[in-house]
Amino acid sequence: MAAPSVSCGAAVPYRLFLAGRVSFAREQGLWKAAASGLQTGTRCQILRLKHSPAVTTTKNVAALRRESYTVDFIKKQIEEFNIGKRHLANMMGEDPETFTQEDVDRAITYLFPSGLFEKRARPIMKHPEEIFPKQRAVQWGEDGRPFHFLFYTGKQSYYSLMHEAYGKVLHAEERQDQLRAKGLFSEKSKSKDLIGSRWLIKEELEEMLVEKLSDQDYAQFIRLLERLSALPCDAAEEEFVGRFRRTVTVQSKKHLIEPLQYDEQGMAFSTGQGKRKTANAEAVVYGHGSGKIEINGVDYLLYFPVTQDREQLMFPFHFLDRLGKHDVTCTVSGGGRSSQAGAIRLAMSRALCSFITEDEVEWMRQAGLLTTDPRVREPRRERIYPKRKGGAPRQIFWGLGARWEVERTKIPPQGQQSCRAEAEPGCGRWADNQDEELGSPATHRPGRDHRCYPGADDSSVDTRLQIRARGGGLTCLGCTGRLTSSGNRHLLWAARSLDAETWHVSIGGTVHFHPRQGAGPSLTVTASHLRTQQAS
Amino acid sequence: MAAPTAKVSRGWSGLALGVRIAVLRLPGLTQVRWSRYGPEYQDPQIDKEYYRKPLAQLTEEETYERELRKTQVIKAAPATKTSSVFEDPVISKFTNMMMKGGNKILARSLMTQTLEAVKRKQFEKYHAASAEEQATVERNPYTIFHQALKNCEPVIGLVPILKGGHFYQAWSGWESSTARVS
Repeated sequence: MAAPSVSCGAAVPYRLFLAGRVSFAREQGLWKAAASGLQTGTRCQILRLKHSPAVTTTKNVAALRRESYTVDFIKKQIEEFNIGKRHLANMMGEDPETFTQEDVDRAITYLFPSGLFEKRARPIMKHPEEIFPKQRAVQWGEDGRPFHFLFYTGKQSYYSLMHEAYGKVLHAEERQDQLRAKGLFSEKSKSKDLIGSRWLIKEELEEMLVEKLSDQDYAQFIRLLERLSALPCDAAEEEFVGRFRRTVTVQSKKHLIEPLQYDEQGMAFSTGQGKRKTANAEAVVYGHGSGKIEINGVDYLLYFPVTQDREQLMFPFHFLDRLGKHDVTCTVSGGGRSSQAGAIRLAMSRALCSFITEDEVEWMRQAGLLTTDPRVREPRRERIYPKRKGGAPRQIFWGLGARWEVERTKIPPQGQQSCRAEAEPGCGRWADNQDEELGSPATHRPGRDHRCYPGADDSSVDTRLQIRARGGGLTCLGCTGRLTSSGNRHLLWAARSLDAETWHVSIGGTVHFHPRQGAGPSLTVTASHLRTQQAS
Repeated sequence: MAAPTAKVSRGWSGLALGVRIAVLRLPGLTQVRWSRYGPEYQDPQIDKEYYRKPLAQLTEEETYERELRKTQVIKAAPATKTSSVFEDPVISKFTNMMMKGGNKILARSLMTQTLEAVKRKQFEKYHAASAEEQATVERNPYTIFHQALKNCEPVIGLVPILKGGHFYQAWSGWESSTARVS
């Protein structure tokens, strides 16, 4: 279940998502809970970092409404695209008549070099058909009557396609019966075209029909097409089925085989390169030899004392039954012993491709000898939900240069004094947020512990969250002394280093950080209820 | 709490090569295990004899499968597997299970030393035995190891039995159970 995503104005470096409460502006004095997001039990805790005090939760309604493009608009775009293509050809000094889409792509990458990693975010210039999503024209006339007889099924293109396909199936079965009656029917297998092509996938079919399909619809359609293709078909039906098949490339064609090279003595040799993790290897395989392998000037028995690595070196040769027939010289750098062995194995296999037949190259590919192993060491990152005794996860995030941790905690030890609202009116009075001002002097009585909150001595309730912050040039200069009904605290910060400060806040409460003087970013940390262990 | 791994379904014949089935998303759960290979990558077939078989001897399914594999992308062969005749999957699995802290060198050396010790003992028995008994002494350490593992297998295993719309785990013979050390 996706919760509505709430975006704040500033860029947030770290964000924990799913449902949660949203803190409203202080001036409004209200805590506004996202109604659809608040759930019991199974929800994750939200801790959101906001750099501005006033945050609203209006959805971006304009973006949600789907844009509809008229036919004229698309036509205009196509004209503009064609003219633009000709201008581009002129700019690049090429002939506008023979300017293909690949030339366009090349020109755009040349004129607008982009360093963005996401390829879809780079500048593109493509035909409007590929950019604007296909949309359906209006399905009914001026009198309101729909054009298509299957309009009221809701998926008219899909059902009309099914209708057509089923008609063809009946026709083919009729023909089959007629052939059987005449005795001319013969069994023939149709497996010849099944390998080189595949059925359309659901997304492609949806795109073709400009309609949303369910998985069952798609499965039903494919079953019908398979049934049709199993029957003896004539050319029209073959063409109909062919519309829903896409060719699949034969993988071995992609691999380019280098031709053999010859050195001064006339000995044939071939080079290959290989990589594994951070190891890079280059191997030169000679046509005639006695099975000697030299790595970085050292014999392979000395370079790889471990049997497993030597077995890896022998693998390509043993696979092709050419164990003692080639000499190899290789250089390798980087990685550990196992990755160096894997890199050399790949380099040798690639070099061997020049000596063997195409079938054997395909066998090597299917044995996994010609694929670069993509597995790399996983980068270390902070685990968001480490498994901890006590169940609730610890949230970690970065904000204002400090590292924050929030976790559920038991009631703090006896030394801390608690105060009740009714017992000590001066400390725990329920103040309106409107009364609070920035920088007002603490109304706490001296000597009183800052960390007080209502119901602190209620040890049967374990609903406290502990917020710790470290680093970042922040420090807590003290509580303003005003407690709101949710047990919030407002703190001031100055430019001293924060060193494992801890605050206890009730669930739903907030820790606000405000600059003491002048302008500066302020920070609000809101804690909604934590996920309980039973829900996991 | 274990997060679910990506669920990949090997689809219908000829369907959907290269399509990623969406990972099951449940609230409160994060996917923590993934692979660098996409779901379209198939496991490599290392056995040499599979390829050396002449085309005339292949059945229809095998021909179909061969043609299909030509269109599929294959993963790289792992560093522990070769086409060598000396390689035994059971021994490799046992070595991996013996391994501690990634010290494969130690685990493998222990394994080979064990097999060598078994072989030596059996050879001593063989030479000490009379001519008739010599035929009964098994000297291949690999057969002894496999037989030992088989002897350690349980007799009964749990089998899910469907009765009244519910699956109950009931005891049955080990052969009918699907629980194995994979």
